[in-house]
Amino acid sequence: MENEFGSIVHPGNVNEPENYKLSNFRFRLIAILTAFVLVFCLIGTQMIIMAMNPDSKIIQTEANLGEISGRKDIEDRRGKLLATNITVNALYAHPHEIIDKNKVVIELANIFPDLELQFFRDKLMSKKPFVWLRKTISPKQQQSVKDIGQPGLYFGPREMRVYPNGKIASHALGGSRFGNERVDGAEVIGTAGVELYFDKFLRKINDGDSKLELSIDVTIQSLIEQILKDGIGLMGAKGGSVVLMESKTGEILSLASFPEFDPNRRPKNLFKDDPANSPIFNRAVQGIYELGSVFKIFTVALALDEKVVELGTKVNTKGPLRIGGRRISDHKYFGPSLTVEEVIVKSSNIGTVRIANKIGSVRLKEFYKQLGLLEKTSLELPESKLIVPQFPKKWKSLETATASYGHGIAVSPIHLAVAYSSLVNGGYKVEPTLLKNQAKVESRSFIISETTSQLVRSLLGQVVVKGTAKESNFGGYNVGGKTGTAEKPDPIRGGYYEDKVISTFASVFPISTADYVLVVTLDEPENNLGSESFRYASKTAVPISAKMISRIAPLLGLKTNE
Amino acid sequence: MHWPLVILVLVIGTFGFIMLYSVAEGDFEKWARPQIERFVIGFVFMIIIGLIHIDFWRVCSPFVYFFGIFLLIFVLFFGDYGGGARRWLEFGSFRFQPSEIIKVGLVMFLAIYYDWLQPAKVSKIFWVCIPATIILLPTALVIPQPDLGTGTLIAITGLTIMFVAGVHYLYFLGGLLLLPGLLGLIFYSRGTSWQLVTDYQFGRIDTFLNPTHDPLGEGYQITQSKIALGSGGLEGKGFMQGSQSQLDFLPQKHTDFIFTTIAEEFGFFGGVGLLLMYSVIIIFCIVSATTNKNKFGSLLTIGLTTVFFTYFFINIAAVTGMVPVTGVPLPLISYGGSAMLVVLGTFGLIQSAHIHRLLKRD
Repeated sequence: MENEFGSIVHPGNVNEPENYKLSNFRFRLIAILTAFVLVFCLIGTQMIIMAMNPDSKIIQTEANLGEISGRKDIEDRRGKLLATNITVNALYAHPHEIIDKNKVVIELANIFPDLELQFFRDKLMSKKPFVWLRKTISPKQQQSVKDIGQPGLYFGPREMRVYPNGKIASHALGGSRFGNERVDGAEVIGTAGVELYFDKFLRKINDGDSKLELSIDVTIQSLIEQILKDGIGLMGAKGGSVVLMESKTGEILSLASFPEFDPNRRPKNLFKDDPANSPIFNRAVQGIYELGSVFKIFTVALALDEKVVELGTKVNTKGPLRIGGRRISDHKYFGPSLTVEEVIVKSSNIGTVRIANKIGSVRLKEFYKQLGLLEKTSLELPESKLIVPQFPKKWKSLETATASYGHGIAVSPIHLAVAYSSLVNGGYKVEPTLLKNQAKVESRSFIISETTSQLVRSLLGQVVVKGTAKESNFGGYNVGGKTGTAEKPDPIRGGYYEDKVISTFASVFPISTADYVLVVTLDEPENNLGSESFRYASKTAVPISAKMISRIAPLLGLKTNE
Repeated sequence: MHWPLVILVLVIGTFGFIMLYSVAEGDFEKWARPQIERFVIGFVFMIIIGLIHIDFWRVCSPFVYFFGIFLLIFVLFFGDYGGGARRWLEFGSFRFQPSEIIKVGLVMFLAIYYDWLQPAKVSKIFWVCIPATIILLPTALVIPQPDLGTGTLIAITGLTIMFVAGVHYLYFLGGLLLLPGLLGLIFYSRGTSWQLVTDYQFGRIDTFLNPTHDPLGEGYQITQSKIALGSGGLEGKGFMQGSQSQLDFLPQKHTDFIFTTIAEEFGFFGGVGLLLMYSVIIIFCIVSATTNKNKFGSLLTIGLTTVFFTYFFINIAAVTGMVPVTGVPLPLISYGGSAMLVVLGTFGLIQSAHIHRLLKRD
């Protein structure tokens, strides 16, 4: 072989043409071989650098550990802790090092009574060189494991995520789990809520921000959750949700959904049942419902803004109204006509439809779109990305008529809170946010005039003073609002249930400045406290809202009207 | 038959089974057993191909090439998606990538082309454009799959044959000068309507340039494999003791990233040892090509050697973070059927060329 290679470079051969060609061919082969060898050396060098250089090794290990520890805290708007990390230990084993495996199996089963004996037996009798036994253990358990006195059992430090407030604000926070696990640490990954939405931000340490500040106020949140839970218990409802929003910024002070869960032990998705019955289902964001009469104020606000009516304009309320083969009626006869103000205060379907007819379907649909009722919200929760309101594609006379009083169109409570905020804050669109001080104030786009916004506030105030919400005690605070009771659609037989309702109260307080919007929604409530049974919002969602407002208003620094 | 080559292939293959046993945490049935079965089939296949006369393969050459081109076009429209790319064809439970066939087909077709072409014409511009087209066609079909890595490999393989066949140096120099311009154009096209490579491919390139930027996304494998390589040190942690690979930090630890496990468990020496075995295969083949009196056989050997070389070079370079991750397996070792069959098939062809090396034509 060497002889042949040698002959290639030998100058004597060049004279013979045949050999010249051959040697040229061979020379090129050698060139290729040289290139291959060079590449080998290159790889070899890279491997030497990687294997020999202890500095780069340490840096890489540390850089990697940085990713799996020190997830940022989450705090509420007043700096109270909502989520943080604590250092615990994980338990793992090298089974081949254990001398008396039977003893270890029995002892471990005693220390961890929630795990079966068989679990430890399977793990420790396996031929694997390494097994995880438990992801987090307490210091006491750690001492007990040490006391077994057998080799081969090891502890690995790791940070775990804890939610010190338990169930409070569980749906906003979501939850987290362990990702990649090593003996010297484990990665924490957000699985839902802001933990998932801001996962990248929360993982990134040393970027200047040490925490995630939410707009939630945990004091108010816990009060609201308590009152909601009590109210739901009293009325035998399936569930409910609450959104409390700052109308001028869109910041959410409280986001509650019942049933709730503990993010420290987040339940698995329940696929068998209707997901809407699962505690992890966020009704305020994921639940889209036909919310009913709370929509009437949208129609009337637009009509006032377009100046097709005034508060005192008489509207024909003779019924029933027949549109597109369907009969639209009121829950009772209001006489031949009502003023626009009375249509809202008494909640007349017929009156609202007649007002909507003066506006026209194109403009009404456009207005709903401006209010954000026809698209996804920009709320910083992964759950909100999936939720699109449902509404008819074509708005003919029937669709327009039902949409004007909140039927045939389904939105989430967050959508409703956004729309109410935009109506009462002076008339500009807000975007819902769970972050503190994130609202964009520079680019306000007005959808109704300030004058109309003021009229809307006074109309909502009248509902509470003399309308469908007058019976409740708001603790002396000036409140405005609109009730809505919508029959639930029957998914099996089609049409609507007669005895199952979604009852909603969208309220605004204090009425003079309308700083806060509160939306309370109850799923299948029934008020049996008196001699009769009621499902109307005025007897269900309204008293619960009244209780909430009377309790949280002092915390918000508001004064009573006395 | 070139027996040292046969034995080396067996040794590397066996090493592969041992590694698959290790990454499966001592589970023989999981990856090692099916791999052995495939290897045995491929090995028999290799011997049979080797014993068939080289002139038969010469006649086959254009058919293999055009069959490969046909499959590439077919897969572009009807292929299965795997890992975000449309490059698989499925026959029952058997999946393979047509780009594997075209690598061999291209080498065969170029070898017969230069075997046929009079040496005096080799550097004439017209006779350079023809093989350039032969190379460009499969490259252009593979890149949009998207498979930037294989596309580059096909081009490199073809260019190597052109070089060995005696095409004038100036053409390669010119090509080398055009390369930065082409790269510039690719990056310039990013985000425009005429973007030359897909976003997925740009993602891979970005990750290569800055792997820690997105440690849990695209860069995750590289960072993890670098840690594994570093933690192996010189002598390694010992068989079945690699924590990175044993603890499931490494995705694809049994396929494209198996070299990481080798380097972690057997250290620098183990990794270099494997590299040396590959190098010896390359040297055997090139020596066989030099002594081959048959031009077709000689060019075929060189081309297929380049295919083999690019396989393991790209794989190891990607794992050590020298080039972007492209999804090329480690030949004879990574778990997987179609690459294994193709590699053993190419060794069959090299054997056939070697056995008939004294058959001088013309």
